[in-house]
Amino acid sequence: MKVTMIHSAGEYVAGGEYDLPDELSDRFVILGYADGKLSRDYGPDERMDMYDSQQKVSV
Amino acid sequence: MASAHYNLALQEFWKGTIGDVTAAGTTLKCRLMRTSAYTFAQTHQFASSLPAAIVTDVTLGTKTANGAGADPGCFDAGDAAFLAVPSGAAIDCLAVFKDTGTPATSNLLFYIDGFTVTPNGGDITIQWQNTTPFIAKL
Repeated sequence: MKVTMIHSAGEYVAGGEYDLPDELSDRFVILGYADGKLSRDYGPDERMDMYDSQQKVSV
Repeated sequence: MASAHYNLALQEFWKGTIGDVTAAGTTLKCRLMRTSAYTFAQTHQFASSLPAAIVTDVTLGTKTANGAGADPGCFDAGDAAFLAVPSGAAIDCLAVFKDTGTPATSNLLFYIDGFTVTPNGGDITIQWQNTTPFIAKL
């Protein structure tokens, strides 16, 4: 799916538009790295698994 | 050590030789590091002085030089998410540099510490503050 990056994530740069594999674009959208549409519905458990792996630090 | 600009970068800013670091064609990268592996020094000028990357460096995007339009002199950018950072000892500092593709010519710009995060194998997002000095202020 096509996404617009809100944050830079890995090799993908904030402000850029990318056409990514669905699994990756969905992950970026759910984690708030990118704006875009999900390729499918994600249940709470699936989303929680993604959130649980994410760490945030303010600098 | 507190967060700081590299003086040799400030010299380049004053001389106007470092260019517009907010320009789309200029690549600024952020490297996560450990203070156990890197000691800040004002003699450091290029990314070749940094330790090897723990995880792929992140290129900063949505760069501005005016703190989201509110504060001239403040550099800001979108937050930086490092993907699948290998588990290990705490990460507690970072450096931002102008990447030329060659570490020996990639100017170090500034260094930030005062945080700590112990990687769990997942992503680590560096959230830049949304008030002055945002990421850094000259």
